[in-house]
Amino acid sequence: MQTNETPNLSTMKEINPATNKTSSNSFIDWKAFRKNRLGLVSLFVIIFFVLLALTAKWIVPYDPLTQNLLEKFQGISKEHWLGTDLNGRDILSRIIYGTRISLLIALCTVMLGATVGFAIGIIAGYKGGLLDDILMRMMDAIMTFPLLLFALMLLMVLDSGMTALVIVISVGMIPGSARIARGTTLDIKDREFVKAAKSMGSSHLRIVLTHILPNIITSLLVVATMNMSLVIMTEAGLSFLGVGISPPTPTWGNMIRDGFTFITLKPSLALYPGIALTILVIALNLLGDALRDAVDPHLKGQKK
Amino acid sequence: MMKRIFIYLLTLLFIVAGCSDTTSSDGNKNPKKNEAPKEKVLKVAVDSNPAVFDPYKLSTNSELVISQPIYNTLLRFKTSSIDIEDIEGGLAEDWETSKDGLTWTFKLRKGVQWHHGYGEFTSADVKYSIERVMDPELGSTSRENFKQVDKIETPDSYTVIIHLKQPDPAFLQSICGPAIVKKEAIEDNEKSGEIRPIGTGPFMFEEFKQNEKAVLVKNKDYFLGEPKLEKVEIHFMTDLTAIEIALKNGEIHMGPGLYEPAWLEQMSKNKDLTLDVSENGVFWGLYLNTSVDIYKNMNLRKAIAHAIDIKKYVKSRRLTAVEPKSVINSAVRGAYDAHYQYDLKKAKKYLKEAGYPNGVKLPEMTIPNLASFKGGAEFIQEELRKVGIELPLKSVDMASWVELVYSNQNPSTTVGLAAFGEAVVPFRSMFYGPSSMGQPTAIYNLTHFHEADRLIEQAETEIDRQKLDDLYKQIVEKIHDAYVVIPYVEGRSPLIRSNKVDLGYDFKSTMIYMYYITEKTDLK
Amino acid sequence: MIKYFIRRTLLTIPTMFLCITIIFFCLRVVPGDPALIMLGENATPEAVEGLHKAMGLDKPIWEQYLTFLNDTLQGDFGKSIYSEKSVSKQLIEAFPHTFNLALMSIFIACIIGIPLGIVSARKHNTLFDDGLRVVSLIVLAAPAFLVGIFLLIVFSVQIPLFPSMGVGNGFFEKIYYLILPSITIGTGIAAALIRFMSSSMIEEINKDYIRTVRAKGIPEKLVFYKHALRNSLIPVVTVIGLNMTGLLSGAVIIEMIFSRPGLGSLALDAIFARDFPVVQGSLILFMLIVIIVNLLVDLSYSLLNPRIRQS
Repeated sequence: MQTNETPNLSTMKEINPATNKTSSNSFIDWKAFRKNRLGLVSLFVIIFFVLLALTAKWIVPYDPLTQNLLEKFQGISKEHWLGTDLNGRDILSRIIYGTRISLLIALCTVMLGATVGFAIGIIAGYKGGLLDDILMRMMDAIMTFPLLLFALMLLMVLDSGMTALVIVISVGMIPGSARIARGTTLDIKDREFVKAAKSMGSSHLRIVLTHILPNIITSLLVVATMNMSLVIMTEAGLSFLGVGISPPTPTWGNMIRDGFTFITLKPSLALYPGIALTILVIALNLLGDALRDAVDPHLKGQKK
Repeated sequence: MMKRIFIYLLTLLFIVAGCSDTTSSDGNKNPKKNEAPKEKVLKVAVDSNPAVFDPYKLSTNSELVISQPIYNTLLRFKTSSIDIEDIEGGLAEDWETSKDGLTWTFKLRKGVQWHHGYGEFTSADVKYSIERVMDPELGSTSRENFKQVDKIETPDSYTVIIHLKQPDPAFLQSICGPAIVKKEAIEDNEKSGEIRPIGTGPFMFEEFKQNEKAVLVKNKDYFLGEPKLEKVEIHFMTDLTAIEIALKNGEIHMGPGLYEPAWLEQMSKNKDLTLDVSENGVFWGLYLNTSVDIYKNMNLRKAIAHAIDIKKYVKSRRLTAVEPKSVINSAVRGAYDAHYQYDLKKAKKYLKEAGYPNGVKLPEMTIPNLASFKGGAEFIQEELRKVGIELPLKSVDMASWVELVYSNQNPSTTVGLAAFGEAVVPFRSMFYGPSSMGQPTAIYNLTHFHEADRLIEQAETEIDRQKLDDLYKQIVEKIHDAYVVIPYVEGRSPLIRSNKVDLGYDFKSTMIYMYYITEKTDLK
Repeated sequence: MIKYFIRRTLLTIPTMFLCITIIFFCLRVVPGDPALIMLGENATPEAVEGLHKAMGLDKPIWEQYLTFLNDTLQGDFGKSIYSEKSVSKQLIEAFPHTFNLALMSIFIACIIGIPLGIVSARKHNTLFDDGLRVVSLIVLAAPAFLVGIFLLIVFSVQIPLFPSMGVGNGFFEKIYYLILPSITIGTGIAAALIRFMSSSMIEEINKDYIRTVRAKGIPEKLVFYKHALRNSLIPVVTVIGLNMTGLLSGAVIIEMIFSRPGLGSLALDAIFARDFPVVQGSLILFMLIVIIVNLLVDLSYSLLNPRIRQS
């Protein structure tokens, strides 16, 4: 994917919690957020997708796995709102179920990547010195990895199940989170209240938990939102190359791949899941933008 | 100032682009695609990249397509035929066999020249080539076909005598297999590390560009006449949609088709294109590995066999599929009728008798992530689900799948088998005990079936037609009664070509998943 | 200045070293015996062992690692398992194709991105800006392979303007063959460029010295465009730096769809065939490109904007 790196990296450049004057400022300014029209709309879009995913079981018109080989490649009809695919399965039902899996993968991957990244970032920032150098150089190295090729290579030989997919993609999410966490930690570490806590004999763990972590949580929200779109697109790219989640599990990536072969015959097969994917990715990006603006006092009130 | 820098940068950009261009282009400007080409260049698309150019190690489709016009064989099937009756002379003009079937004498063509000045073709080349196939170090896949060869004699430059240890009913077709190569050329290639296949065929190898194309030029001195085409280009296009678009645009003259009927229908409506379907089928079956505990249960195997509605699947594939006739390809001599009835009641009854009245979850089946495997496997999965048998699927890349299968770790698998000629060859590789997976001598016995071992051994040396046919009948029966393979379709490869192409022969079937290119093939 | 250049250049050495190390160990973890792949399934155990010895696979892992490091530093990536062709040679053959694609994509991104970015900043907070923002987001979010295939269908099949495959011969034909694939990649970069251009310009324009210029009575439009062009290089450089890994990954899919040779198709093919030396070589080259581009980006930053050097 040529484009999917952008939201991720731009976040890293632009969110800079270290510029906050006091720790309380780093929490989200909901008033500012509410003023952001695009942000609000995308929030609703995302809530809609989440609801779809949660209630998939009850709202799908058909079992997403049931094949009807004699009814394949059907167009839009009363029975099948979006038609049927190459195995005669209902496309709408598959898209709805696909939402569930795509969101689940994205959420798990982002959480895993952010947790590991934040841990590394906090340790690097807090300890400093040689450890900091080594860890950050490693992050630099990971950042130069062509994520798609690496994931492709590892997934081909690992189990091509969900766990492997989540672990492999999450590696790509680590450096971004680590850098943000390190920046914040470095900034807060030298503040008066932390120094005071230290002199009063607070343990390192306690300082990290009570002072540093709360400051990072909001950044986490922003990074996670942005990275989720990256994960969703990477999953689609990997499925396109043939190493996504195994069939017959409906994921958007699988659906696009299956439909791609017949794109001149029935463009809708690849197009509908492609549109769903695009909408969700846009919504996630816009929400990320809005959250970032609401967090960062420098950008408050300014549209980007 | 910045404006100037900017413009300067952009110019620089193009200069650099231009420089890198000259390094990789040979300077000759081909006519643009819309103008009528002066040279007759046939462009073929294949959906894989070649890796090996040694004709005895070929594995992918594109390697076969590149090699086919370069090399000749001693005897050959008439172009596009797979009938044993159609075997004719290739590099050998004539051949005869002794009564006991142990001695084969071949009279070679005189004056045949190797490509690129490697001299005249003689009996020594034949001896070298066949001994090379038999060399275990080389690990050729056709080695098994020559296991009866005792020694090869070359009394003169144009005579080859092959002595067999035991008579072999399939020897005639086996000799149509290996391409005849030149010792010096193979050694030169090994020394230089360059790729330059040398043969005696209608087209000579010119160049190979990784991930792009291989170019062949005509062999003016070809012994069956000067080829009509100037050049043949084989383009490697891993995306099938890209091939389809290039075919429609006329940028490619022939390519593989998809197995999807609706897609084929759409292509056949295109006025510039012709759709052909190969007569010989790829026999697809679900192979159950009986060395795995759960599949030792005969009743479970029976339940699976009766739960799959083959007719429905074949119908959905329309012109690219026919119902399987036997437990091996219908084109094989010895494919006697054997079917499993689709009967849900029976399936449920057997499932109960197998000890799974409430259904069962089978061990995961791994398949390669190719559309040809996926379609069938997903259909089987769905059919089994209806009777309460759950078959989890996992798809991996081809290489991983091969490794799994060879190490006997796949409890069940679907696989497509292409075979023709005497049935003993596929029987030996697919249903013969010593060729079971996981053993050093593994060939393809995916099911660990060994109840017909004695019969197959008998058939291997039986040259009496009547007795051989009787043996085939018994073997088919044994395999059928064991429920180890559930045939579900015999697929026929669809090929698409531009109407400009004149093949020069009647297309019937192909063993290389592509049209054969001969000296008579032409472009209008 | 020179001090900074040297320091920044030296900093890439540990990164490169780490990258090569990670690649080495990742590939050792991958199951699948290369010797078995080379010899085929009917190989005798003796032959496999012999080949192991020849390939150095029988030695302890750290020794293999040192040999690997040594060979890599000399630019020797070994031979392909299948074709037995030298990997370096294959990489050199494939590189120009991907390089041209990348250059052309960046060029197209600039043509589209710079003017629209300026306009977006100029019309900041208008409906036009909102629209542009949404469109660029759609381009950013749509999967590249879908964009690519639709371009192919429209501009190659429906309206037969461009070829659908291959690379062409000669300078102009090569550019002609590059147009569709580089538009596919270029529009994605352009979308990112628009966003960067407009935001960095808005930031600049609100700075004091612009107000001073304005106060002197110079027409606002002139100030704006003169200033805009002068500063357009920084966003371009930034976006190229940020998108380099994405651009190269994009090449993998685009080269496949447009049936082009290049690093992407070489790597993809090698991964599917388990041709480890080729995989190793192309991954290292990929990373090297990214590291070098990042270095150049950082260095040109310091040239374009001296303030960065201090930090």
